[in-house]
Amino acid sequence: MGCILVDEQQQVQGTLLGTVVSKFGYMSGYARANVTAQNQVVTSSSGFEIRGLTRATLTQGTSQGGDSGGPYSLSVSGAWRFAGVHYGSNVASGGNSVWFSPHVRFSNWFTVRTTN
Amino acid sequence: MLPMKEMFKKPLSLLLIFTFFLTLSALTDEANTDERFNYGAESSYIEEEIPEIFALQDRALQAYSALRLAFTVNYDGSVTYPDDFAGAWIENFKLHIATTSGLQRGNSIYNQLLAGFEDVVVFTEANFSLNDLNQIRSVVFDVLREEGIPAIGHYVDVRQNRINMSFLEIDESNIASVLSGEAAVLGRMVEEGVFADLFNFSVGEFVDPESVELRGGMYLSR
Repeated sequence: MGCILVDEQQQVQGTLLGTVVSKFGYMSGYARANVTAQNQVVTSSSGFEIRGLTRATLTQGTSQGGDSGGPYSLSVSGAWRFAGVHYGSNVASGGNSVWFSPHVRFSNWFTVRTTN
Repeated sequence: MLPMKEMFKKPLSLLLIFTFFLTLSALTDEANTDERFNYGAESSYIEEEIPEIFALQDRALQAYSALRLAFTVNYDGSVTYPDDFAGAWIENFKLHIATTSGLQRGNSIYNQLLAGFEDVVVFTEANFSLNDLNQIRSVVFDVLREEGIPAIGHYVDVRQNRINMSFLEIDESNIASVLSGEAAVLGRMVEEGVFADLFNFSVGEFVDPESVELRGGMYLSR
């Protein structure tokens, strides 16, 4: 499981449709994806309804079990910004979509720690 | 024979010293653990060099950051948009903004917020606001669930200004349930004939959470 610590200046509020994002997975390393849907409601394979996810299509790299919790980031004005946390994908069933929780969906519930 | 106090003095002192070093060692380990999370060469979770693609979308993202000042983020992270806002997206490194007020927006809040970004902003006209579409999809999804119809996901496709609703299998009864008066709260839109234009129906799938579990020392990923 990946982890990232950021401060208030290192995050983005919401990832826009069409945006290129970078994904880091503990198991699969770096990947790149293009955001294809925001604020999506999905049903997990366990039957839970998950709200507010962002979907992206992988353009480089992959995703696999163990990546959950890994960070998504993108660059704004030449500096990396935290964008969200990996939830899951449909890669195992032959797809190339990944889903993550954008930071805006949990920024009120978690205190984000700074690295320095 | 030594008094009782003297008998325990030495072992207790040794125990105290041992405890002190044990605590010190634990604190040092904790500090080392925290260092894992620093952006270091061996533990970086972001790439050292920023790929070129990010520079191309940079101005559009900056414009979107400015636009977000018009949004209200609710406690649960959901967003309330201006009444005429119908969505935004990036295409060809430009920020596209759809509004229901279309070209009549004049000197609107968008123009004020996006001053200086005119070269990367494209306005388009839409029929339905994002607030309305979000409300409709939630209501329809809840109604379908109560009726036992297995819609497994939904989102607003802002490019098309429509609601995408997915099912494990698409059959006519699912679609009929959405478009008929079953979702009676939306009856007015059904009567006006615009309801059918709101939806895209697609085959969806369950999403696998890619978590890891350790059970009895066995590494299980899914």
